[in-house]
Amino acid sequence: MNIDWTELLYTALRSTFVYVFLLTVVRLLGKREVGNTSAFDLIVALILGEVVDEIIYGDVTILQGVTAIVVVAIWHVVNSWASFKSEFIDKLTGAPPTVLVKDGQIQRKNLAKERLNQEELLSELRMMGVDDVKEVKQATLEPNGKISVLQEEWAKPVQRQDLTELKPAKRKS
Amino acid sequence: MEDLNLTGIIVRVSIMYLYALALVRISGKATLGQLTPMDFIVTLIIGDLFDDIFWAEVPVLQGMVAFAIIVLAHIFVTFVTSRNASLYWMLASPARPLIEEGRLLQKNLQLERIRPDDIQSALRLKGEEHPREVKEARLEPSGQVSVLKAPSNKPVPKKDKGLLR
Repeated sequence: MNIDWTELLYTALRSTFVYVFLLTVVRLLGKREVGNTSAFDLIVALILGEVVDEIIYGDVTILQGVTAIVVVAIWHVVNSWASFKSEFIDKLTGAPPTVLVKDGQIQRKNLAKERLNQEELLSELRMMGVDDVKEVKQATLEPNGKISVLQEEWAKPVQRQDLTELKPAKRKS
Repeated sequence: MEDLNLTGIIVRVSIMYLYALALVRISGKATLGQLTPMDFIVTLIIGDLFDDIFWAEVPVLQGMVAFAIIVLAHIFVTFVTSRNASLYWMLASPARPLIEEGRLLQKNLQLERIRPDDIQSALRLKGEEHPREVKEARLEPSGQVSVLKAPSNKPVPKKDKGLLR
């Protein structure tokens, strides 16, 4: 077996460069869980992860690789900036939230619109610790694809403010 | 690859970013929510399609067709399975109970190849220490474990405020 030591060295150097470069780009892009571009973050992360292998193995030059990564990053920043500035672009690039449960009633039409099975909804509710759909004031499919759950007032745990209400008129300590 | 000039890369990357944005928008929010294992696979495939187009190993048009077919197939499958429960079970495994009324269901744990350590870990992640405090735990279609607390172990709901008097 003939080991090409220079190629191994170059691979190590390119891997190091790619790691540090991506670290910088990802840091500059930031990570947020709000806004509709956050939904696209995962796709962008996957694209960036796929692009680097050709750079590391030397199938493309560093300059070509860096160009591709920078262009993806610029579009992602432009995308999030444009959908922040313009409501039109925001609506164009991200879907508005969809109400799946309202006042304990499953909204079948909206479930069908999002191509969700009722089982998927009930499963998501169980993940949030809710076992009865009657307890749900509103469940919403949010722009990032996650389901949020607001409980009915009576189903919420007793809060501190309820305790003051329950306290006997005056108590000596 | 001498013919791989930078302008070409810039143009192809730009086209594909905008194309992906449009297709993901069409495919709907649910895919990004990763509710089924297939949503996850589809997302990975989409992410994997790009690089060959960037480096012109695949013509842009061919990449666009592949991308569109994957998304359309997923839209079709989720459309059908959202309307038919028995077809849905082909896409995702049914939510299988692992704990019922505080008891571990050994048969189901074996069926899903979940070790005692794993179920303890799943409970801890949900803030539970012991199975006896659990009314029901299930392995959900998404692959996560859901935990419903036993009523005796739950915070008092406001409707039962009177009990605190």
